[in-house]
Amino acid sequence: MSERLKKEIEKIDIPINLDDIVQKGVQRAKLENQKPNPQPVVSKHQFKPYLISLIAVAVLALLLFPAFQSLDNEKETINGSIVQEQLNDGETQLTEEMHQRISDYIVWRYQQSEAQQTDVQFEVHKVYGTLQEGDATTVYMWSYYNSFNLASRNEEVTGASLPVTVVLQNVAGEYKVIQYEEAQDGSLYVESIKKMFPEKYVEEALEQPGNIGELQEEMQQKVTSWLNEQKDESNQNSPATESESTMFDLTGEEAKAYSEFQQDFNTEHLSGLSPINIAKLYIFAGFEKKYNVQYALYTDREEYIMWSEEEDLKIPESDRGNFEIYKNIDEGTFIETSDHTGYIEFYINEELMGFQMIKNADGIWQVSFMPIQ
Amino acid sequence: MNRIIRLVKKAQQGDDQAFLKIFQQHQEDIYRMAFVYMKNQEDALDVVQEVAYQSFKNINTLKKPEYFKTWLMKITINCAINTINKNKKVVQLKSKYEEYMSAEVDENIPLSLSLQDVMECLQEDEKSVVLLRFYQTYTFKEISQSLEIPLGTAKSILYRALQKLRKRLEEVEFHE
Repeated sequence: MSERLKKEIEKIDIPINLDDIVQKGVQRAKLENQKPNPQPVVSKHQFKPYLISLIAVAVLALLLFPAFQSLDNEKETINGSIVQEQLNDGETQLTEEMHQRISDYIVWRYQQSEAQQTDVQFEVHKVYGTLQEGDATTVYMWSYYNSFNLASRNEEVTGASLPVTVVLQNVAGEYKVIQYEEAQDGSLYVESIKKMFPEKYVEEALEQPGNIGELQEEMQQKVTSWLNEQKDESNQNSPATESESTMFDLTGEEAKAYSEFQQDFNTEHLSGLSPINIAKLYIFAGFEKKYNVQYALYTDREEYIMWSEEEDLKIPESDRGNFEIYKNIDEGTFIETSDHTGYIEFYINEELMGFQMIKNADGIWQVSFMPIQ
Repeated sequence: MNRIIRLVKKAQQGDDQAFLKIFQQHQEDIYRMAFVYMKNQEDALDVVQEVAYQSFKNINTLKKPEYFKTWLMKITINCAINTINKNKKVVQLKSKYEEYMSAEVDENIPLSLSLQDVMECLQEDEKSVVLLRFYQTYTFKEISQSLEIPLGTAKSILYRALQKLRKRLEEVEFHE
């Protein structure tokens, strides 16, 4: 069914330097894997010189103590690196409020630069560590941002995913973002992360793109709960009479076919029923959580089958959606698009939807896989 | 399969030559997948290098050597998408008109799937599912595991992609 695509992909020319490129990548990894441990364990025979040098350093430190004190305030700018002792790994130093301030700020930033208005924007982040200095907290993190529209549901409209440093300051009990820096593009990318982050977080940041799944999941949860809120709101706004009836009633003819079909899944029981009748049986079966009945109502035309019953029954309840939203389908209109295909036009929350139907070889209407689009 | 398992185990002990032997069996596939996302040779090669780097660096995290190829495909998709995200930061992922999709859907669309359409009009997540389904001939279950998304989401992404392709086909036919 996808031979053309496959053939065209196979025709993509392979560059002659592909082998070299692969070897370079492997060599890079090999070199990194061979890097010596920065804090080698002191072995027994090394102990003596190690102790002597420690004493020497301590004596020197005592002698130079006043000088160190005066340099203390400038320690970050003198050698350009961050003093690791003040770092806290992970997000232990961040409160819910601080997380929220960061997300709000980043969303606000993107909104300023985006030309297109979107219905909702979310930012989630993975914190590598924080640096506490007085009332200022520097957060080293990976930020993942997406915007969405209600019409396109959980399909993102814009997005960004990159390393970021944010400085939060506690001003009269409230946190404010006073500084924001993000990694640069292209060839400056790695260097910019090295400048922004303490050394110990650089590698984790560089590898984050390979581990982005967790943030994507967090993002999806936010979108899903937002979509559910929208659904609840629209339900509350709809007239009381409509919200009282959760599902349509089956007519006598439909109920008979529904009951007989469940016995043996023989499509002859569906003979003579209209596309809307069949769609109602499918939705009703979903409403009753009879997913095997739903699968049996799908088209049996081989070229339209998208997955097996075994695969279908593994779909978790949470992914199946709410069938009550289709309750207006019996007021829909069937539109034929070919001698064996068509769709039922009907409304879900004032939005026009199409419910795809396919006629099988025996002239019986069946439900298309993924009927709603 | 036993040979692959043996080579993966050697690679996990740091043997880069063993790693190259198994990687090279898939490097053309990886390059072609990367090309579909990146649309040009230079960027696709960058992705291949990154995949080689990340896979050898993290080969110890591969618990089941028999899934080496699946694991590589997953890294390829992640690397390609992240390179795109890194380069564009914030961009419009779709234009306004795409929000108004036709209600008509015809699953015959896969018959006319063309590489150019796939490269030009699909978003990254849609490319991933289309490539895994039609190029790597994965099942939905395998796609869902590979991309770490629910089975239902994999199906709806594929359906959305097919719908877009059909819409594009209609537009092309209309202009012709």
